[in-house]
This record gives sequence, C-alpha cells and structure tokens, in this order.
Amino acid sequence: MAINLTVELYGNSRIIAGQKLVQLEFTESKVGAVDVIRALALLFPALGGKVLDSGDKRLLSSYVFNLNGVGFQDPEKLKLCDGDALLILPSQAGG
Amino acid sequence: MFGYHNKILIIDVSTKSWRWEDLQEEVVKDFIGGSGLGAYLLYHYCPPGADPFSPANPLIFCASPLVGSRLTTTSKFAVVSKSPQTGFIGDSLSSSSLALSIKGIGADAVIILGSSSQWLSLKVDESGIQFNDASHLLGNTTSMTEGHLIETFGPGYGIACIGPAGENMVRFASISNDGGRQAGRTGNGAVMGSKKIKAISFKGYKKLNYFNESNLSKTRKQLAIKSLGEATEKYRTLGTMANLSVFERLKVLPIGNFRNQSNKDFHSISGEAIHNEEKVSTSHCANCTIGCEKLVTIPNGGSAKVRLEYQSLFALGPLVGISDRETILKSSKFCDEMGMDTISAGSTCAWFMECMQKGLLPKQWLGLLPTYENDEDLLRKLLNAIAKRSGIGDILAEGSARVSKEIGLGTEDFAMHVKGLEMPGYEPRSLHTMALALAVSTRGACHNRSSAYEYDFASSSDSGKLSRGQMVVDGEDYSAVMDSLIWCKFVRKVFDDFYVESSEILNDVTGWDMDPNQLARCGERINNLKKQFNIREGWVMDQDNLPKRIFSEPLSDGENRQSLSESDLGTMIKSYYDAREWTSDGLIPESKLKSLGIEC
Repeated sequence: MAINLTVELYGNSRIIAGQKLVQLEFTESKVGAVDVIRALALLFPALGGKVLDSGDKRLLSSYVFNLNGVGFQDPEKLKLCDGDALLILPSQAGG
Repeated sequence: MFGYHNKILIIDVSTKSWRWEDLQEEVVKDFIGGSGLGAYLLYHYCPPGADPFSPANPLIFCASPLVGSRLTTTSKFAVVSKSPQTGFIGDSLSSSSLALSIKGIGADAVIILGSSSQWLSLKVDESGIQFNDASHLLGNTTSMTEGHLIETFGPGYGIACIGPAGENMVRFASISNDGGRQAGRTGNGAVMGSKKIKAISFKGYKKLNYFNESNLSKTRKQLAIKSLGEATEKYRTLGTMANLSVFERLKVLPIGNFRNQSNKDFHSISGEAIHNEEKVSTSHCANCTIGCEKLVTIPNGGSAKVRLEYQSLFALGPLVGISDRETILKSSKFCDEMGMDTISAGSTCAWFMECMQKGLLPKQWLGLLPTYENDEDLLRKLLNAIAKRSGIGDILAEGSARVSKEIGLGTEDFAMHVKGLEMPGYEPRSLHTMALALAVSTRGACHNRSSAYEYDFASSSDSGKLSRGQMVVDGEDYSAVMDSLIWCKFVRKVFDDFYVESSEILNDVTGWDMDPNQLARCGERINNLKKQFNIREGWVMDQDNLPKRIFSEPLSDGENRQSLSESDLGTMIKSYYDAREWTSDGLIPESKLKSLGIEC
C-alpha cells in the first residue's frame, strides 16, 4: 500500500522551494526521515546546504521535524503513516 | 581591573549634579554586568517601597564586561528601574552603539536619580555633563528627537530618548536608541518621563585593556565564523518574523486576546509572505555578525521602514484579531515612534476591544470612545490616544492590569498579564514549561528571561528527565548570565558548551579565574537577588500566577484539547520553588541568601 505524505515547509525552506506544501507518495511499506529528505533533495536541489544535507540525508541543525503539528520528533525514530503531515520547521524558537 | 572601568556615574537631575563612585571588583564578580549588575544597583539604590514615579526610583543604564570587546553580538546594555507596570524589578535590554557610548564615557553603569522641574536633555561626554533645556523637543517622536540631537551635537553620540508616550508617562513606555531600537518592556520610558528627561546623549572613547587580547582576537574570529552557520540561520533569513506561521500551525499563536477563536487567515502576515511580497532589508547591531533585523518598507508609507519583530506582529495583529498587513506594520512603526512597548500596547487594546464587544465598559467611558470604521481603524485610534493620553487613552495608558482592576465586572479574568506585565506571544495552555516561566518570572509575563519555550519545542528525549521546575530554573539562570555578560540570545546555539566557553572568554577579558560552575552560580545569584527585591517590594505568592482565562477556557481544536488547570500550574510552581531551594511560599531562606553571598 502506498504511503502519501504532506510535507509542510516553513521559514527559509518555504522560500527556497517556492511552495508551502509538497505531496509525496512512497510505495515502500516503511517510510522514515531519510526517505523524505531524499525525495525533497530530488525535487528541490536548492534545499541542499541550506535546509538539508543531501549527502548525509539529514536536516541541518537549524531545522526540526514535527509530526502532524503535535509532536517534535527525533528523525531516527520517525515512523510515517499514510496521511501524515510532516512539518519542517526552523529549530530556533526564540523571539 | 581589566574589562571594567570600576566606575559608576551617578547623575542627580533634581540638583543637576553628578558624582563618580567606585565599583568594587567583588560586586562584578558576583553580578557581572548588564541585567545582573543592574539588579544589584537597583537593590541598593532604590529605597524600599519607593513609588516607581518618585524621584527616588533610580533609572540605571548598565554596560557589561564584553561591551567594547568586539565579540559578536555584545554591544548591548540593560536598563533597570522599579517598574511602573509591576512595582517590581523592571529590566529591559537594547543593543548597538549606545552600549559602546555608555562604556566609552568611562562608566560601567550610569544611575539617574531625582526628578527635574523642567524637561531636560542630558549631554554626557568627556567635558562633563550638560543639563540642557528640552522644551523644544517635547512632542517629538523618537526618530525626530534622535535626529535633532545628532544634528545639534554632531556625530559620535549614542542617544537614549523617549517619545510622547514616555513624556506622558504611559506605564508601558519604552526607551529608544540607535534609530528605533527599544528597551521595550516594563515601562522604563515612563520612569525616564517621570524624571522629565527627554533624552540622554553619551559620547566617549575611553579605552579598556583586556587581560588576554591574543586569545580574544582568536575567539572573535571563531565566533564570527560560527555565527554565520546553521545555528543562526532562522534569524539571518527571516528574523523573528519566522515564528508567526510556525506558531499558527502549532496552535501556540495567541489570537483575539487569547480566546483563540478567529476565522481570519494570518498567512498574509507570516514572515515568509512579508519576505516574498514586501521590500525587506537587513540590518545589524554594532559588532554583530548575525544581522537578524528585518526592516520592512511600509506599504503606502512613503519610504518609511519598520523594524519588525514577531512580538510586534503578534501583538498588533492576531492578538487584536487583525490580519491586515499594512495596519500592523503602521501600528508597529507608530509604537516605536511614540516609544511604547508593542506587546503591552497591543494586549491592552485587545483587552479593551473585548470589553467593548461584551458591553462591559463603564457608562462614563462611552463618551471618551473615538468614532471608528472597523477594528483596524479602532486599533490605530486607540494607540494614538494612549500615546497622547487623550480621551480613553488616558485610562488605557495605565495598562490592562490596573484598568481591569478598576472597573471589575470580571474583566480582570481576561486582562492577559502577570504581575502587571502583559503576556507575550506564546500560548501557555499548550506550552506548559513556558506557562510556568511566565507565572514565576520576576519581571512579570516575560519570554526573554528563561527561554523556557525551548523545552516545549523540543522532542521529549531532548528534555531528559528534568522536572519542569528545574527546566525553568536552568533556563532562567542561563538567561541571567547571557543578559549580564551580555550576549544576544540569538547567538546562544553557537556555543558548544555555553558556560565553559563564556567563562573562558570572561577570564580572557578580566584576568579572573572563574570556572563554568562559578559562572552558572552567578546566574542563580542574580535571579535570587531579583526575587529578593520583589519580596522586599511586597511580592506575595498569589502573584506567581496566570490570568484566569488560561485555566477556565481550554483550547479546543477538534480532537485536540489543550488546557492547563490551576492545580497543574500550582504543582509546577511547587517544583520550581523546590528546584530553587525556596520555601513552599516562594520565599528565600536566609541560609540560601547566605550561601549565594547576598547581603540584604
């Protein structure tokens, strides 16, 4: 069964990608942070070095994942389900 | 002593005189500078029970050991007095060349006492102090005042001034410097107005020696490079405006006086939208490599630009139920020009608008209301009336806490303040660590003296097993050290180990041998002294609290219900007092004061 995700972009990631939402479809049964980062790097190469590290398949420390607007997630523990919204947010909270 | 002048300049505007006092090394070893030194000086120079608007209330400008070191983000100063909003310690920070000018005159701190019978503009430089008549400056906005003084005195002066709001002693008036930067919170501008000081201009170039200039030179370069890395990306790109869309999505953006019921879309005022659709330029404080300041050209405002921050966007937008970008930008600019704290101004207006909607205004006030076309028009007219203390503005200039207490009728329950200081843009029903920090902060509802929201915005594994009380204690002590050295908060993630690196830098500046634990202990000492000041000035436990609305009106969003009960907050407060080693009533035991070396 395919897993459909909505990735919501915030901060500089939205400005670089030029869009707020990205729909991703995965045919794998297990989808994690690495898969999402790989897909985004292909779609938006300009995110590399600014938002994500394409080589290491990780978000830069200036960004964090939030699942469905509820919980902040450690990337290695992220298990995504069909219909999830994955938010990519600037990690600095202050201001 | 390296890094300090060992001098305090004390100016008495009642007698138009001044004197220099020595600043002992033991004091700065304990309280460092900035907010910490300011707390120490306030405790000793403010007589117990002094009215904030009395001549006895000192208005204190504090530099710090890192000012002048050219380390990134360190051109900052603190302004401290007894707050006319809270009756407790009021401290606020601001940035840039004024910090260098204050230290340049050869002072680590400047204390202003007394009250003048006529409006004054003070000029402080190597020739001494001039107490000039300022009557021709009255009514001028902050930028007009600064511009006039630069034109009169010539270049090189750092200027602190108040706008019409400070002249009129609006309780949440700010002090403006360096072209619109604000020492915004706790009403220090009103204290300056109560002394009839329109402006103070500082100029001086007294040099300081540093203990290990060679090490500092290396650190300067290393920090500058690191400050351009990942850790500050958000601030460099969008500045604090980036918070708005994130907070809206996470449902931690307070809307409509914290009722959080709105059918409005705030997308158009997000940092991303403003960045994409308006002309935005970036500015830096002196000696800062980050450049977080975003200057937005105001639509239909000629060439006028506003220095836009999240808290102003929030308070003059969603908090008052307004999503019109032009109104928010113009209102923010207006507050800066009048010299008013945007958070308290917006929050007081939000409370008043809710009173109007609910028909809770006293009859005698109805004749004072301006005529208006819509909410945007009403906000503009209320802000104008407040700054000038005209009509209803004369009442609202007292702030939501005082006015709601006066009219009663349940309006106190939705006056969104703690200890008289209106709440910033963080939703306490969702952010429980932040809720605790807001409740116990010594300066009232404050987001900047704990950074407690960081725990709420982190994954659970990042927070470990600390109690919320311990989290807030750690955040407060850490912030107290930052605000005393003074580092900008936006550089905090640049450090791999804050206390280790900061103590090494402090030792390179001063020649001390302070270890990281001793530096952390300074933070603890500073927060205990601030609390002890408040206790002396009449603090009672009930004042560590949140507005009733937070407990009685849970947030509801379909399946998710975010709430905070009074009992849950009470439990967290107990955990905070325990972590501080205070009594169950929130008082500081003598033994604790003694262990920290605080003499009261």
